[in-house]
Amino acid sequence: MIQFHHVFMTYQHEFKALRDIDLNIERGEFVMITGPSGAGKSTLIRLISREILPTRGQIIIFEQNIAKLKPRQLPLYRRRIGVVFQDFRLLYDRTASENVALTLRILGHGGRTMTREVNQALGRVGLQKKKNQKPWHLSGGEMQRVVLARAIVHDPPLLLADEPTGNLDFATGWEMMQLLKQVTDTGTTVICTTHNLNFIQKMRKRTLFLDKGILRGERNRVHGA
Amino acid sequence: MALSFLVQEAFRGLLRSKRLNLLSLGAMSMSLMALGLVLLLNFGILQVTHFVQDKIEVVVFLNDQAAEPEIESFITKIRDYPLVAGVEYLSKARALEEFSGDETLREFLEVLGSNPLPASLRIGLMEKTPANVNRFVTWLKQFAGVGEVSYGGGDADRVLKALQFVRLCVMILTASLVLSAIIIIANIISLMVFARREEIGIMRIIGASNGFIRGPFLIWGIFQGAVGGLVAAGLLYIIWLVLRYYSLHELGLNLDALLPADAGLQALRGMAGLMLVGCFLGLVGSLVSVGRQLNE
Repeated sequence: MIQFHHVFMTYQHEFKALRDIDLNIERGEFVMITGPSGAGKSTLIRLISREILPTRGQIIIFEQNIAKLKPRQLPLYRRRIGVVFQDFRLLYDRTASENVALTLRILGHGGRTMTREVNQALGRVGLQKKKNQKPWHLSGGEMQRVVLARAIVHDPPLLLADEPTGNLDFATGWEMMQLLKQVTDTGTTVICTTHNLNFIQKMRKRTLFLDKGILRGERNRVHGA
Repeated sequence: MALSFLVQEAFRGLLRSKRLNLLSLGAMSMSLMALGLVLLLNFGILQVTHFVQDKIEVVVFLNDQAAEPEIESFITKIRDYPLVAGVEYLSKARALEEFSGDETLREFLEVLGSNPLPASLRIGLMEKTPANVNRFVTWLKQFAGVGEVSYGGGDADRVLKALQFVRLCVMILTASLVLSAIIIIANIISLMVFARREEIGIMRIIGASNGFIRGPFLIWGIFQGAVGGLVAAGLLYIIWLVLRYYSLHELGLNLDALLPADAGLQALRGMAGLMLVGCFLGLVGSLVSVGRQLNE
């Protein structure tokens, strides 16, 4: 589903964020990416969401070279990806359900179907009772769950989570991890970056180790993946 | 993409940054008011031009040797000239009749003993631009029997040329005002777009098309242009009331007399025009600034 072929990423001709990355992720996998700060974890996520383009190499996702996507194809590509950010990136003047509904609005949904889908997504993350609350009235963990609901409300085949537990305490972070695990049950591929080794140990999922932009190794790779 | 949602988003943005919106609305209204003033000035100049042009009348004085059949053929040729609206023939005898009403002239004519006044043709023209009048006068002078041609002459010519020059200046001023209004409005909208760059970033990452992001800003720009046009029209009306009051009480001049008969209808047209121009400015301003943000 996701293939990296000798991918390099250099920022402003100087900082080498990723060097010669070769990677293959299958449909329905849960992959964790870890490493110290500046290892290139977020760069990898940004490359997949096509916020940035690689300096060299090829990235194939959904069987297409994403560097060759035309500007008008880019929104369609991104609609197949859910994204969870460490800093939430919610719209603070809208309620939880309005934030979740935004994804569906972009897809052109509306009316009762949309309301039902929003309620279902908020139900999946256990926030249905707070659907009319604005983000300022929610805790960090609750905000992150709204972000997750916004990312999965349209059942995307791929979910990217960039340090989703970075701003949460251990217990709340662990809840988030469990929710992400549940997402794979519906067949969604999840790629999650974290520098929390406890979560990595407890999750026992395929984990990639990045350091100074180099893929140093990986563990728990399922046979055939 | 539901239009109602885009309209809702546009008004949400409107309420969120009230101060910037007021600033933008103020800039829009002032620019449109200045534009309205310039257009009114242009209207005034046109009125004066028409007034001066209406006063222009070409008078051809005929030589005493010109015979009646010759004069009649000349009048036919003049009537066939494309710009001629009408010709009036004044014989020597009628000219004498007209002038004998004046006491001094009558005495002068009695002393002379014979009728020294020439027969003449008064010619009305349809489009009395300086070029048209000059061309016509040159055409007239080629005919035998034509003595002198008078048309208000150089003075009218100079006034019309001056008015044409002023109108050209007004047009340049109008174009600069429209351009500066677009620049000001585009920059203010840029500020608003910049203030919402994070939101735009979120929308883009979850797959919003440029049209989806642009839509509310365009609706907002058009709405603001329309309101700006309405405010400008209101301000212009207040300025008119003040001017009318001042001229009536201080100068004893009733400005209402200068207004055309359908002044009310024209004022409504002007208001609609200002609103349309406002919508156009708002639309272009939004397109420019959002486009810039989306290309970054």
